[in-house]
Amino acid sequence: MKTFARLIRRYVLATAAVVLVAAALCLGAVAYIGLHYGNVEQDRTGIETLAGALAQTAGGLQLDPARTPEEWLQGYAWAMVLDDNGEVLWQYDLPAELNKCYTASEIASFSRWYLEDWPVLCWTEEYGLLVAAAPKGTLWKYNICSSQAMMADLAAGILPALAVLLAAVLGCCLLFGWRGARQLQAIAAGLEAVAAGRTVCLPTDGFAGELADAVNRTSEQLRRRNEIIARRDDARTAWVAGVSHDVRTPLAMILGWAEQLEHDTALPDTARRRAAGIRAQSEKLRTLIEDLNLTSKLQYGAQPLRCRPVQAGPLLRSIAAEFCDSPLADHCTVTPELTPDADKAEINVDAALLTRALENLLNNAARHNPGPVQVAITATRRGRMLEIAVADDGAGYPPAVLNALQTGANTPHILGLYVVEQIARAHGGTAQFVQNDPHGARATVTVPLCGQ
Amino acid sequence: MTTIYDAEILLVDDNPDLLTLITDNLHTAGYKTVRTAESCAAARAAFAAHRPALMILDINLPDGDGFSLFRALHEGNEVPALFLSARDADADRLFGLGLGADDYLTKPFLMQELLLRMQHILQRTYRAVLGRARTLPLGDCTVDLQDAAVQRADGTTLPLTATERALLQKLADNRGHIVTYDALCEAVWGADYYGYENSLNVHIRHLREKIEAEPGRPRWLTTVRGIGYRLTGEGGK
Repeated sequence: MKTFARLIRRYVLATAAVVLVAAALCLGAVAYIGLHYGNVEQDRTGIETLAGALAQTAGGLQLDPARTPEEWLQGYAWAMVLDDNGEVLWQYDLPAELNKCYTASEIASFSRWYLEDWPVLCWTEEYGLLVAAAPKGTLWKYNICSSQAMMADLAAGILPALAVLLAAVLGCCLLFGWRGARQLQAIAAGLEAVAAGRTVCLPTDGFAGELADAVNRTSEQLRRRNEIIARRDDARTAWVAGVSHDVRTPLAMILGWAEQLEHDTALPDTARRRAAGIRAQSEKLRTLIEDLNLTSKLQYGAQPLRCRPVQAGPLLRSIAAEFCDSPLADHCTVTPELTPDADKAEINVDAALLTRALENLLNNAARHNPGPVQVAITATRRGRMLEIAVADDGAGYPPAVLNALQTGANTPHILGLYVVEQIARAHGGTAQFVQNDPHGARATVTVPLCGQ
Repeated sequence: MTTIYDAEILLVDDNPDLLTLITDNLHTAGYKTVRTAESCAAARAAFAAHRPALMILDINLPDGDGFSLFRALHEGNEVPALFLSARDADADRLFGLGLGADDYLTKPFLMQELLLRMQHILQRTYRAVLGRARTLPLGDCTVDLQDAAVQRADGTTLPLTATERALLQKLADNRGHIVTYDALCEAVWGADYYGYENSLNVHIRHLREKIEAEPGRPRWLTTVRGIGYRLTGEGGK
């Protein structure tokens, strides 16, 4: 909308500037012409002055001797004075064919028009009528006559007429400006839509048609490219999901039989221990498949995030309780240590995903530490986020894993932790993995508090 | 039905090996009657012949899908069901639970987990039939949950308050597993339980005085620090 108003303003201002420049040029031209021809006219003695210079003397009419007759009559071809009967009383360079007696109608005619194509000027004095002719083709004479009322109306209406004219010009400017801006506005809206990832199809008529066509083509190209990317991502996600789906049933069988053999008291201890090994490895494989599936979905945005307000304390305690009840936790002690405000804090999370992230961290603490291990789950409010830390007193992260975690390299060895990081990021939070003090691993996940 | 093990189980999966595996494990766990079906048609026939107490359904079946089968069987017969499927998408899980299934477990699964989930569903659904009047053996003493009374080893009988009885019921329902403070408070005081945490400690102390030989060193009602309490199972855990 800002662009729209700016465009119209610019259009109107530009037009006003053009009108002002044109008016200034006109005035300049008029001034120049007036000045130039005024100077040319100044070379010729005015008819009134010339009439004043003629005076009745004893020897008849005489020009003032202060100047020579040539000087007085510079710019004139000839001059004469007629008496009341139309007789020539005095003349200067008068062509012979014009030296005659003039009738009243002839005098009336040349005083308004021309005398035998000579442009003549007339002045009445006591001594008679002075007629002076400029050279042929040097003066334009036209007699104008108009009604008095019209002239009065014209004089009175000139200002309102100018105002109406100005308003009409401005109105036209606004109209054309608005029409132009509207077309450009459609283009701007189209560009905005393309930038937001939508597809557009703008009308390609009007002066901005070429621009609209270019925007349409860009939009179509982006749509095609996005479609290709989406198809590729879908194929990859579907492939991972398909493979993991097909592996699930056979793995369920392996896990089930191994579990059965592990608890079969008729079998020797070594066989049962081996069955327990198969069971443990199958469980690892199960976790790996789930992580692989989840990481692929998170990476390609195929995992919907179902965020709901959840109270942190009960959620963390139920995750801890479930882990403690699993056989994996036999050699682990898990203790949630939540500050009272963190316990009551409401977090806006997908509870299933956060549970998955914390399960991965707890499982790691149990799996990678064969001896007894203490795991503390702490939660603290940090501004708009809740910081959840899972820290153990075990062996800590192997240097290679820590290096991969800190440099961001994703290797299959840290798939579980990579999933934790992805889940935190999907919630707008972060995940950090460091060595615990004095020993052990410490993972910190931040998730947003409600209403932030 | 006097115990959950009398419940008839209908197991539907297109993989015969998996059917054998689960059936064997259910028999080992004590379930007396387990029927199996490898298709929707066979499942419908088995359901018509003997109405089961619990159905365990796969989703991908050769002649249809488990969701439609569940809908058809569930209509008019409130038989509890658990979906056991290789489909792990949230949409499938939510759809299955949305249809009214009691649980959803994805393959591969731990047999122990399946047994526990089945146990929960059966206890919850058939609570009235199984009778909550069962006595709760705690070593030398016995708790009668219906009469809210503790029969001590020395022959004396101690009454339980309503709160203590509700707490013990919740712990007994999950015997051998941790019950969080939150779940216990909710069982006694409802969803709006905030602020009752200290009261819970007091009630647990009183309960220990009644059921434990040495309340200072509890054998049955143990604390899991920072998480909740656990009623130790008869076998030890």
